[in-house]
Amino acid sequence: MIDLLKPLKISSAGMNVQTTRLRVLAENIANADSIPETAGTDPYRRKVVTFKNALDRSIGIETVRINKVTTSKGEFQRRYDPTHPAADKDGYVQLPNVNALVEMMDFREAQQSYQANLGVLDVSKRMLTNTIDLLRS
Amino acid sequence: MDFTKIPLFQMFSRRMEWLSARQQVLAQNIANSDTPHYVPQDLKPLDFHGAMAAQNPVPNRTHAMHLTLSRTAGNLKVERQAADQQNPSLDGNAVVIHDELMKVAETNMNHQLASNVYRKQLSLFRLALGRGGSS
Repeated sequence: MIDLLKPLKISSAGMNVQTTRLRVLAENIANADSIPETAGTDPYRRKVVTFKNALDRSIGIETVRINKVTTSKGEFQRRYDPTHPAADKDGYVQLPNVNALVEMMDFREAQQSYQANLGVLDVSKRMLTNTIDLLRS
Repeated sequence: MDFTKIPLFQMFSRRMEWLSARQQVLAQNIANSDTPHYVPQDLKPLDFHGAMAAQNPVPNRTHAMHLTLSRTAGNLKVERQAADQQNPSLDGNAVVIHDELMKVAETNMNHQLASNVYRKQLSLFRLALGRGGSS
């Protein structure tokens, strides 16, 4: 009975990390045009979330957790715009290293993983109610 | 009459324990489907004869901070699956979601089967007691 509550907790942890991932992705997309005001400062750097399998000591089982949110080391894009206040001496403005296509792919993956977790949660819940229903027979 | 001494009920509780432990392992695999270098795990299939014979010693908890052996759920062995060599993922994750979901469905089915067998067995007892066997 208590054992059947554990899969629920694991799945909810899985959904939790995917939600965080979605939040960071939304942050990246929202900042796709965040250009600095002056030359010499860096524009927005894309953030990346990594996960790890970690022991949750309060329930004594291994679940998934956010490992860390790091910034992507990819090259900044450059655009020729000499009138821009952030343009360097050659007239180029540095743009964030956010690629909308990559973010959308990541979005899809996060969505799929979320759904898979939700599916498992649903099945675990059904198993639990099934066990409880044994009392009724 | 002690229900726990009836072999079928013993097997039933053993089976239920195994199924919920497996569900836990599968939920863990799916939750970690995007974790780098994670290799999915599965439970060793339940061996009824071995399970009935061996009584697993469980250490006593003498302190609230001690962790129990709930991860392996008694003597149920968790083993790592062989990584899929044909579809290696870039981050070293070896979870194949549809395989795992299939196992989840299978576990659910077996769980339903076990609980139905239990229910039927109970209704047989009721029939023997003369209170009608319908349930």
